[in-house]
Amino acid sequence: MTSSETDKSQIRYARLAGFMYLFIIAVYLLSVFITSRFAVPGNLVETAHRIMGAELLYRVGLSLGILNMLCAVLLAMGLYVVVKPVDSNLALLAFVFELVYVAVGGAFDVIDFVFMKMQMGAGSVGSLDARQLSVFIDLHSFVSLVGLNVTCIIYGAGSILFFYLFLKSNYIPRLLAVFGLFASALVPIMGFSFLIVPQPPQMLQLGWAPIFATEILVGLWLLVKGVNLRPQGDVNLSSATNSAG
Amino acid sequence: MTYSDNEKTQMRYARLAGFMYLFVDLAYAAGVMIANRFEVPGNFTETSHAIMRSELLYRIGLTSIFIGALSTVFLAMGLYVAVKPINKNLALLALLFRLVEATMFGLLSLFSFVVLKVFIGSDYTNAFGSSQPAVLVNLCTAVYSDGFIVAGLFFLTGSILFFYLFLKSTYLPKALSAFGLFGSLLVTITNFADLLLPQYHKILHLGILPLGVAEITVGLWLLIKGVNLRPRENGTMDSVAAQSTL
Repeated sequence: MTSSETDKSQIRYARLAGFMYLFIIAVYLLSVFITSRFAVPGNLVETAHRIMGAELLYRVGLSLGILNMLCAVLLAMGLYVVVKPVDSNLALLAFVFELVYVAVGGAFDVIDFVFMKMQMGAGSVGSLDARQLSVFIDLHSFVSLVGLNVTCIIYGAGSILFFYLFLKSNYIPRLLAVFGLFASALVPIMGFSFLIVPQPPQMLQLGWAPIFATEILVGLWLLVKGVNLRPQGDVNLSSATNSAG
Repeated sequence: MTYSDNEKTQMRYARLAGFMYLFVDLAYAAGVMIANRFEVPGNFTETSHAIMRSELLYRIGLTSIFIGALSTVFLAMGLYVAVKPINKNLALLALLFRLVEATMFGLLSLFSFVVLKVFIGSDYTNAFGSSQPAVLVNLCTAVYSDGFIVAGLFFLTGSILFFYLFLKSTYLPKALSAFGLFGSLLVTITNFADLLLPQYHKILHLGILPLGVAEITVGLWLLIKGVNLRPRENGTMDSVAAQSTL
């Protein structure tokens, strides 16, 4: 492959990554929108009945979570190809973290389906009374929360590395890369806080906002402008060449 | 002695692997030690009270085990880059096995937190009586311990491959590589035996000792001395060059 062909391939994958950043966020929001429509705060039996009343829609909501995981592989692949010339080992490490994230996240999504099935079974045959069902749903919420934080920690580790490589490369504006690095670093911090602190303060939830904003901005940038390959060629071509070996 | 840039990278990753061997072992050992302090065998209520008295410490223990699992990715990557010049395909295979291990341990961490939730939630005892939450805890604990053995088999296959590649090279003293390989093979056998004969778990569990010693020794060696790249030039340069071009 010639140098220009490599560049073209890199830009193609950058656009793929950009699109995937945005697509994943859109699918995630849609999934949350659908599944949250079934929740009746303080009335768990009613929630179970609502799910039974529109099981297909609820399943669509949960399936979108799995679609997200599939798309995360494409996102990781796109980012890996883009930043590989900067440091192939670190790019592989980042890619590997994202794959572990997808595998763990996919398994947690399956657990959601299992809980849904058990919840519906419990609600329909009356095998659990209201208090037992309440405890059961509470356990589901807890499992989902732990799952979210565990996967976010793994995802954050990969994201930190990808943004570090973006920062090293000048492929995207430095400010964006720095912001991405900062936002990615917040993700595992948040995740560990939720795992360690029994009752984390609500304010902590705001920590998710920067990564959300970053992914939209970087997604748009990569999709529209691709990556700026030239300055990297001038500034640190020699290190890139060494690392690529 | 001067090193090429690739060799410098290799050396850096070898030291990372050395540090990670020690860090992963420490994180696991600390986590398991903390979590075990709370366990009152066969007494759900007592264990539950012990955890409620110091929930934060118990959570730190569980998180420490999870950090150990996650750090395996750094360890595997360090080892992969260090031994890649010997045989790129086998090194990649070893990396993949260790990734499956990290994934499985990541998943298993969920069960430990579920157990925590059941222990600290008085709602469970109120809603289901005292025996049913205990059954759930036992089930989760069984999933966790059997899952630990199965995930361990992926870890061990990766470990066998990495030590085999070290043995093939002269990066580490041969005796150390051979000891690591022996330790990995031994635990593979005891893990399978544990699945078949769980009643001998306590004795079989001792099989981990040689590998534990090997990991700490190799970890210290890699961290302090890195890998010995020079003799390789005389002995197996041809094969190394051939593999590097893949």
